[in-house]
Amino acid sequence: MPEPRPPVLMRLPAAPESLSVARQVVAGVAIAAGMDGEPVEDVRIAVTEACANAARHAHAAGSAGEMELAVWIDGGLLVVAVRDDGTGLADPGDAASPSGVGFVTMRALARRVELRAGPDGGTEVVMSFEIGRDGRAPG
Amino acid sequence: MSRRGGRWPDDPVPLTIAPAEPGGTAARVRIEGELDMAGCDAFLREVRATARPGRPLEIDLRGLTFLDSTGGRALLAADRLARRAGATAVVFRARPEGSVGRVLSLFALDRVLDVQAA
Repeated sequence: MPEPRPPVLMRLPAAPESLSVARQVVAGVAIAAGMDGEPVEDVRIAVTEACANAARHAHAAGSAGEMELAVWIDGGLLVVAVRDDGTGLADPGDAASPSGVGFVTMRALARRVELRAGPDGGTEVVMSFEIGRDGRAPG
Repeated sequence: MSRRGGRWPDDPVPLTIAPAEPGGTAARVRIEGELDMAGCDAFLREVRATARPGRPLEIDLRGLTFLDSTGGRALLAADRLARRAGATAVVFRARPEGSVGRVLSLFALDRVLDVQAA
């Protein structure tokens, strides 16, 4: 099991320009935790989907909103949480809705995806990924 | 262009979209770097500007280092745009590994679009 590490916290503009930064930071944490290869690619894609939805929520709210990211290790799992202060869960049919392509992608790539209303009316997504092939961190 | 270099908050998104090169029969668009929500509009503008009636269009994705579902939808839109502009064929050249291959197969884009391995 990896050494316990404090969560990595980020606050970014809920905007398209933030996506590249978000996925690189989260991928860095994943690699530091012992992940490599295709599983890291899955993390990069899923994080981008979550942040793209946050940017869509902010856009729908008509504001230059922010999103918060938290990344931490929980046993053999890499956990990524993305929270926005946008309009909340979008209508079905909207690209950022729970039935949208972004969530379908997250569900396909993460071991587990939880979606809920955030504390301030926005949306919160929590995804977890297995660090090791057997669900445990190497070493 | 370094994917690992610092570029926050003012540096541009690491995406290079090259215009068509002279010569050959196909019009070409080459895209390098990371294609997500931030770069889709610029990519589709280039496709619109490059596609020619009566000529095939080749979209070179071999230098692409990241693709998400929004980028994948932009590839579909590019295919539609180019055909509507009269392109006789739209061929995507891509390497099958990494996030690009993952998104192409996850959404069956490699079956819907004419994707040829690099």
